[in-house]
Amino acid sequence: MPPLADPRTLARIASLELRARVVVEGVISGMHRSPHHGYSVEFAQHRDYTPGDEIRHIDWRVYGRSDRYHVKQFEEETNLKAHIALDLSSSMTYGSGALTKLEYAGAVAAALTFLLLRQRDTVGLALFADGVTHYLPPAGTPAQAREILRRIEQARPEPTTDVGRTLNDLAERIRRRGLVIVLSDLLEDTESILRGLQHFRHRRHEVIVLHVMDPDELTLPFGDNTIFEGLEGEGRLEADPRALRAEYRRAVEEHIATLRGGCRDLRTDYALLTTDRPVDEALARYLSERMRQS
Amino acid sequence: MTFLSPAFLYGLAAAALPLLLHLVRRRRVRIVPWGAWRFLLHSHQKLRRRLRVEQLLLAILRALLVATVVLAFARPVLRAPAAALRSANAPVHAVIALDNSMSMGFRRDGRADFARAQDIADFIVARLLRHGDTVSLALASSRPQVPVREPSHDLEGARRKIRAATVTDNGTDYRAVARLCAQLAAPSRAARKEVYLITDNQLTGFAQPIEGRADEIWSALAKAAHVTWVDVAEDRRPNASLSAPSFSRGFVTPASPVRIETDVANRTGRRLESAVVRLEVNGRPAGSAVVSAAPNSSARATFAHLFEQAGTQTGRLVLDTPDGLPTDNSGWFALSVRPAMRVLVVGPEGTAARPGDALFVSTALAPTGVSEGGSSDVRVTVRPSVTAAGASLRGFDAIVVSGTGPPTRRETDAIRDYVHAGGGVLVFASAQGGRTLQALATGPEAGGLQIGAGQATSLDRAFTLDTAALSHPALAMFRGSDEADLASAKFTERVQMRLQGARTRAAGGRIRLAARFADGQPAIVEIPAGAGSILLCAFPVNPSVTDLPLKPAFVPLIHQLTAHLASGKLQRRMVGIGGECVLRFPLTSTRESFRITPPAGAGSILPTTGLPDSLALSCPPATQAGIYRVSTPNDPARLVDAYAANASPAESDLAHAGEPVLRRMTGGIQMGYARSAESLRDAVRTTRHGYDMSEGLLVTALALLAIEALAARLAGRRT
Repeated sequence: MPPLADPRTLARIASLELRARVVVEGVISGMHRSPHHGYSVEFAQHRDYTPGDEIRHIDWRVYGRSDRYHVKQFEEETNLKAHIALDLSSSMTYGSGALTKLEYAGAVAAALTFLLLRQRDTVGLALFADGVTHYLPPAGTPAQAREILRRIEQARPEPTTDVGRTLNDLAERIRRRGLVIVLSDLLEDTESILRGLQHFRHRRHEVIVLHVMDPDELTLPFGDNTIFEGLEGEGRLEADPRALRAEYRRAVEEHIATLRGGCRDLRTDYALLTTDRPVDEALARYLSERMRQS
Repeated sequence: MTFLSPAFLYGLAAAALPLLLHLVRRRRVRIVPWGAWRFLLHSHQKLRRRLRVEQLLLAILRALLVATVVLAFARPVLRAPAAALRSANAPVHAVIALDNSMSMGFRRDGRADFARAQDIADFIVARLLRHGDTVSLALASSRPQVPVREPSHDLEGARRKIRAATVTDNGTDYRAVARLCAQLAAPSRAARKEVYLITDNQLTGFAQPIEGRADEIWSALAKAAHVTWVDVAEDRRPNASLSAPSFSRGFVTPASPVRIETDVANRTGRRLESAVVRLEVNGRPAGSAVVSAAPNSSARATFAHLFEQAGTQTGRLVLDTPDGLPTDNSGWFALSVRPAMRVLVVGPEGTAARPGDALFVSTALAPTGVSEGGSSDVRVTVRPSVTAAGASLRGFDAIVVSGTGPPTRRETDAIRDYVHAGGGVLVFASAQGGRTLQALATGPEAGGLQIGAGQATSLDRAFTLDTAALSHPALAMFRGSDEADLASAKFTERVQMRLQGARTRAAGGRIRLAARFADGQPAIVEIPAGAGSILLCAFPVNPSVTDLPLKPAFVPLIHQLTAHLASGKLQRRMVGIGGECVLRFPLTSTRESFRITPPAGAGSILPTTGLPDSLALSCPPATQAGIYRVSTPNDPARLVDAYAANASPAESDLAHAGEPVLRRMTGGIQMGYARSAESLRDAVRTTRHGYDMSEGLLVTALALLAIEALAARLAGRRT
């Protein structure tokens, strides 16, 4: 039986919220350390211990004085404003497996929302294609999570896209320094994309690029003659994939290598997510790696 | 260009398959919505021109591949323009040589190879020749027959003669067949002459001695006609066989048993274990022997048989091991058993106090104990001289001359006549030195032999015989033998004889050195003359100069030498296939003709020829292995005489000459080769119409397949 966060399983779960929670559970159980460790928290009050509370949060001084178990409650600081930028371009609707790239990226975005809210950060959402189509400013309330999930669920793909210009617009719009997570297939000119990312870095944002690709797009595994129909209105192209495969793969690898190198130069996190891998596993691996580096 | 299998040409339509497949695949093309367009477009634009060229090349390659395979199956034949003009409806003269040698009687799957050969010959006449063509038919063997010599338009008649042909016991001689076929092809004026040699490709068939160079014979045949060799035998034909029986003595009497031997040749490819060889004499069982032989080797079966009465005796040895060729599992013999050997000893008997040479010889031939009451197969007559024997020497089977003085001219002539008529004379040197020998060693037969003076020595430096160098069959029993102490005999006198090689060869190379002294000087020399021979011994047998007469070896030595000489007077009654036998009857016989009945078939009556001292019956050449019975014309059941014929042992060797060996043996002449009616038809079509391109096309197709696979891989069609 595949894990719950496997794309095939997630595809059978209609509710995005449920998908996100399944992913979050997987991420947390898959990580050795909790992602909210390392953020500063502030003591708020004591309350009575109830079974299920963590033993380490029991205040032993109070116990020494009163012979009763009290646990400490903390009020976390919300210094981090996170923005999730989700690509709605038509190319994101391609999917050779259980989930399209858009569905996969939506699940990742929802999971990240829960993870960020869980550690008391504020989360905002930007849906973009040719430009930013929907923008939800960051907030840390449970209602924000529901709103983000609703907007992702209701999002419809746009026929064209311009990631570079969108990132520039978004950089202009987000004034306060924070975390920007870009979820896109980045099927555009690398120079334009990197220029947009550089704009964020210029604004001293921390940027995470989650590059979502379908495995077919990486390997071009088709056999016989095929007519390819552009998802963003490029038209049709008949070709023998076997003849093109080697050159195609070379071009894809070059594209990814350019993006990976450019992100490294910009000190921007880059991770390639393929839609055939379990979402939680992909996220957990990335987050663990990120924590290890920090 | 013509096609041997034109029906396959319809398959050329398949050459369009690659194109059709291409079109079908275009029609059934799959549509894929695609997001990563930029990469697709990039690679397509980069490769577009190359892909077009590759697709075109691949399509051409595949169409060519299909077309080549189809053409290969259609068997195209390329012919020269001149051949095309000539061979359209040109009349054909076919010479069919059907091998009917003994080996063609080999049976497999219940059918003889000869029957298969007949089918092929019939196929040639019925299917490959047309109305207006002519045919000659030869039955090919070492003694070929020609049922249809002149080019005949009667194809049906030729078919009947093919069906009527039978296997013979003859050997195989391909060169003789080649020569005959060239002769049969020569008279025809047909535009196209074809020779079909239908045989079992017996390797030994190329080994027969021939006149002229082998290459010239095959070249002449190739010039005379186009040759097609049809091989009807399998590569491996296991066979066991018997050689013709041999006798340990040429002179056989009822008084002493004779050893009969045969070699069992095992060519079965496996070990021949405990095979039984039976002896039959006059149609009755007379013994059996068990032999075992490793693969490709032979074992000897030996019988000691005592013929109980004198007269003509016939028999055979039979190998009781079934195989594909039963004909050679029997070895036939016929012989005349004489009541006794009559020997004339010429020389001084001497006295009891001083015995003469003849006494020792006669005593050795008929020992005293035997003459006193036992039986002996030697009747000895002692006379002081040859002429004292009576009017004729012909009543004696052998003559021994010992211790006499030089013969008179009359005596010499009498001995020479006797020898030329088939008699044998054993001459010991006398005390008078070499003059006796010199007198007898005259005439052209003795060319190369010089008789020198006598030579004496002391006892301590006496001459001895070199028994290790004995090569004469009559002396074989003394070679290296410790029991027969011939080597210990000492001689203080001898006559010097010298053999001159060149002159010996000039005389036909027939003088034979039978024994030599330890110092290499000739001791016994045999001079064949006419039908008989003379054995000259360079030493006397007088005890005053040698202790040989006192040695135990002396008795068998005298017996062996006289029996050898006496056997020369016996008529030859065992011949090979094709061999002729001349039987002689005394003048007292009242018969002027005799019936000769072959082993199979009706007998024929032949007249005798009168000779000064006998009647001669010249028998026709033997054509079958077995016993040829000679009887009176009116009473075929009464056996007067007989002779036996045996097949050539080479014919029992069924080693197969494969096509490469065949081509080498035939000097590499241009020749068609077939192993079945179908392949023969193809070979004939090819030879009549030109060069068969199918093999080349198949090779080309394979090459195209490899190129296509490589090109497709390089083009990225296959990963």
